Amino acid sequence: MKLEQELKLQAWLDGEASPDEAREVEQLLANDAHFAALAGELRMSKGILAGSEPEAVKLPESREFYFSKISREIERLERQPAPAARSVWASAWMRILAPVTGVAALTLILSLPDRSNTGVDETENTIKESTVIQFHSTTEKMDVIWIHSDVDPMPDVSSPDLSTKPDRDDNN
Amino acid sequence: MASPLDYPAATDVQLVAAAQKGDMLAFEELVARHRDKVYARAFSMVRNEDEAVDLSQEAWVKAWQRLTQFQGEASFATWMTRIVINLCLDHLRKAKRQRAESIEQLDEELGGVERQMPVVSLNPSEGLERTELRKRIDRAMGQLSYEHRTVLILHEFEEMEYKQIAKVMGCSIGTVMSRLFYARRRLAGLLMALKREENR
Amino acid sequence: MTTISQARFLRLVVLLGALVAGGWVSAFAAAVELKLQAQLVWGTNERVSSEAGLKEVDTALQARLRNVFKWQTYYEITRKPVAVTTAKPQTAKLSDDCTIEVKQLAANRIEVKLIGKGRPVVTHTLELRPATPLVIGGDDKNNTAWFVVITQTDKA
Repeated sequence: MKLEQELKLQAWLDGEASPDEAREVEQLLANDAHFAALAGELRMSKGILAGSEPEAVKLPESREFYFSKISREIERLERQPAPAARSVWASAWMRILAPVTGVAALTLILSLPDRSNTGVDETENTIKESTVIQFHSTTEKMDVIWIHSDVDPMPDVSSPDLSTKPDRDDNN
Repeated sequence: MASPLDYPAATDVQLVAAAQKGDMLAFEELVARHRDKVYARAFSMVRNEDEAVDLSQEAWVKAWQRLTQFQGEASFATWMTRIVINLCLDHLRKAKRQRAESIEQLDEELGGVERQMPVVSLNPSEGLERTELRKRIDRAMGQLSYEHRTVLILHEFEEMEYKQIAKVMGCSIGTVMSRLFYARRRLAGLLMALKREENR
Repeated sequence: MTTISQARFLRLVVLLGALVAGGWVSAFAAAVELKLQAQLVWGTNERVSSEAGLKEVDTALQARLRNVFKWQTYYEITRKPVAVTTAKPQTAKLSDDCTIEVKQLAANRIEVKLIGKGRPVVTHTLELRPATPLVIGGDDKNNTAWFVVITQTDKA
């Protein structure tokens, strides 16, 4: 049974399947015992959770104490001056000023906000069907970006064809 | 002269309107009314009391700052819940980036184990009283990864559609569907395991 | 020459000197190159015949990858040097299906875009840290995996 069919089954149970998907699921339910058993399990899970959200935990703080921290933070934020808007011309000025002026200009440039260096690593996942997981291994000192494809195997980067020699351009 | 607002008796709509004009007492009444629910949602996601308190307070501060954006398209409680859910998701994502994790652990979260699980055919909630069932669900939810727990909370308890969940979690609808699928399967397995444990 | 003219002349010399220094420093800053290396690596738990001609990655990288990922053996498929400056981004083709584009954004900050079969897969921006490679990976067929390992080669 393919994952794709299992997800259609789930969508059907959740009322999110298209008419075509619903027909496909109904056919599978009629002809595939394992599929029908899985439907039973998913229905059961849904049924157990429905209306059975765990008891809401109560806030462990008194009304006054809890709100005092909120109002203090609001007051603090309202007292702060609004941050200066980053100038879209800052980068352009940096390019124009640096080769033309001298030490004084360098001082000015160094004190301008460097927008390209936020110090935060960022990842943009450009394939909708995949999930990108990012972590840093502190033991191996390695930054890892793992691309997991949820629906179809990721077809885009292939493993080597073991029948051919690899193309390698050594740095040595 | 307009009569002063009777805060405890006022509706949420009246309180929001007053708070939007800067009435801090009206805002305090809103906090008092909805603080438990907002805190509970934060706790269900992060499973840590201190963090849930901080995140829920941060949500209230953000709500104050964005009050003028609230137009009443959803209830105030729903709007607040969305704010705290987004803060919790940001918090969980940051925490996950800082932890070293093995790829096997991640693989499990992504469904490697669940794909091999046999179908659970017995009902693990059979014979349980509601309170007991809720406790068991709570224990099982605590053992899920944050992605699995979040998607279950958003779909089953916040009753959000796949599309809305995808937007909130910042992922594709396909990702939501597979996470929800694996989360449900994992939950069924965990509930069965808890049932077997308690029957011993 | 009068004292005032001498002072004015000296000021002009200092200003010209500062202009030259400023120009030189900024030109130097723009030309500082980041030397990187990109490796396409294949991870597998299957035995691979020596006739396939695959070379394993170096011992240190082998150990690090094994400690993080579940595969036992890691083979180097391609290795390419990548040198970038803020003015000159670089593209490295690691296989018929895999290309990376690297841009230098700031002194130690780069953007890496992975392109698979002509389609952008992921773009990652990071602060380079000494001896801390970036590893981008994903599942491949038959329970194997591919990895792109990017290391800085001009710093230990």
